[in-house]
Amino acid sequence: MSVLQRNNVRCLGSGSRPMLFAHGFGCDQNMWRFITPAFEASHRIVLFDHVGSGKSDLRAYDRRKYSQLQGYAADVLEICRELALEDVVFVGHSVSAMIGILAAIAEPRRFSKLVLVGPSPCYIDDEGYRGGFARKDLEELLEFMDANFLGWAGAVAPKIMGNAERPDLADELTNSFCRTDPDIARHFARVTFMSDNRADLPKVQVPCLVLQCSQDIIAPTEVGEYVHRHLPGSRLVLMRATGHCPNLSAPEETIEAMRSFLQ
Amino acid sequence: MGDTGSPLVQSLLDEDVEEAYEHAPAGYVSTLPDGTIVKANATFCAWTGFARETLVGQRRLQDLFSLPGRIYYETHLGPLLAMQGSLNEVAVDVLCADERKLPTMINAAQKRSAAGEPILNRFTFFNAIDRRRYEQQLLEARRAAQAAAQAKTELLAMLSHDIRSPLGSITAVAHILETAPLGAEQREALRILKSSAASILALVEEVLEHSALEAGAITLRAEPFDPQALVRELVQGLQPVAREKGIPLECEIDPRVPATLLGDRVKLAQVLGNLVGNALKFTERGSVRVALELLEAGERQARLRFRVTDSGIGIAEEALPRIFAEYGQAHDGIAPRYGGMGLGLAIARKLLHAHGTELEVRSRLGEGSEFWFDLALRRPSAA
Repeated sequence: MSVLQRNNVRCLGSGSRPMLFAHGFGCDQNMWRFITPAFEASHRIVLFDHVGSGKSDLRAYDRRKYSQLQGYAADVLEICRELALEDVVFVGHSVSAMIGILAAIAEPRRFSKLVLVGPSPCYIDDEGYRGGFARKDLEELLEFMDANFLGWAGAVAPKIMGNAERPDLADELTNSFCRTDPDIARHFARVTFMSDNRADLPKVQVPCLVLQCSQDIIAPTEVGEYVHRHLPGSRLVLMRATGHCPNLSAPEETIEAMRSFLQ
Repeated sequence: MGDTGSPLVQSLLDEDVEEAYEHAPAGYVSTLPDGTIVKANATFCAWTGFARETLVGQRRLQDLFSLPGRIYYETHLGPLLAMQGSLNEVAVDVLCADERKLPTMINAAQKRSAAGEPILNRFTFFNAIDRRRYEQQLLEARRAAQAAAQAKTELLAMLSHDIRSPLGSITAVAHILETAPLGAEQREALRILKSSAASILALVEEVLEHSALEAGAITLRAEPFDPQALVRELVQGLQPVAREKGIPLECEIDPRVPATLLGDRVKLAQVLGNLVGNALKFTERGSVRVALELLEAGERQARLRFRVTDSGIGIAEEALPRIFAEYGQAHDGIAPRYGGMGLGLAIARKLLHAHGTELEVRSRLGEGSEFWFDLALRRPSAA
């Protein structure tokens, strides 16, 4: 199966500089929909779904490969090679910020800049480090995802309650974005929230922008500051936007910060 | 039909809308796009034990969720609401004033301005205490069933593995015996011994292959091979079986199929061999035809269709889903009459899944079957 099918890769835009967008845990490439229009004229936009998310090919989900973020980083590099992308601006949200960092360490010359939206190199508290979560929180999260199991399963197969007269009705009444397989979602959650990439930060040679939201419980401000301190020559922007997804809640502020970094 | 005209019912129907909102059998909460609560009905306050003034303007909705609920909100529900403007049947535990967790099911809709800017999010909370308990039981039952199936596969693999070694000895001894001076009767007995050992070995190999696939241990090679030759040689190899049954085995190859493509020759031969073997097994009269077509020839890759058609016993429509299941056959009469464990198609299908394609089937009971799959294979220069 081709890499482009596997990761449901879509290309937009009329520019020549490639800009690769990677979504985070719990979502899919649709989460960039308010951001990409601003860069379509100047860039070649490449969107994709991580294997196991969105409309990726679930048959390609290999538990061993994706038991580390390296597996996802390998996919990012494969997409770059397949489309012959050079001087890539990588934009990664949440866990994909670390996936981009791993890809940029493996092939520094492939990337020109990294935009890291709500990055966290380690979610769990450690000696002298506050990630914001305790290990038991993670176990609770997995239990919680179980509780939503039937809901998630419904999201994967929404056609069950099809209405012949109004075929679009079933789509309207189910959650049509960010679909995922419940078992894969659990595994991705574990891999994401157990990851520790603190030691990787100083190895990055590509200029990075860290976009840090206010009141973000997934990646608190002190985590953003930690990332900035340990990424050589990085720029930190503290945003007015609250929550974890400024690309959805405050697209204009996000675009503005990205533009001034990319100039 | 009850009496809607009675004065008592009328007086209740005249109650103002606000009253219906306040005391509906569901919790209603409205928030700003960032989650700040701007309105909550009496039902929600009663369920959670919060006084309204401690909620409105004071808290964000996600602050009322347990920590995992908040993670889920930030990573999944929030984005979903922003993108599709609604949420449907999501399970969330609400943390009540006394720290108790209230299992709820929520629906939500986003109110947007004419310009499309989100203004308000409206949430409806349903009490889901019983439902959550049933779902938990369902989930546990599903996990238990999966674990049992897994254990069976492992046991079968272990047994098969243990059977294979003594079987190897039997086969070896049979070969040695062949060189001994034997009478006609003994020679026939030896022939039966060898062919029986060979069929057990084939079954055992299938079980082992299947459990290896089950464990996800599959790597595909991408080596240059000639698809035309693959089909031709496979058909040649099975001609003796066809001749023995008196069925013509035909081969139809599109000459436009590229002579060299990249793929896993061994695995493809295995899939195709299984399909042709089945076709021969289930056909008593008529013919079996193997076809290779070129669907699309691109610069970097070519799309091929492999097709096996027979005029055999066919499969009833309702039995079609069963034939792909592990250890499943179209009906109980198959195994005693035709043999086999029903693993062949499951293996073929898993191998094709690894190639990113699907095994398709069209069949009519009594008229024959057609199995096919499409495969996109790269050209060597594109590697």
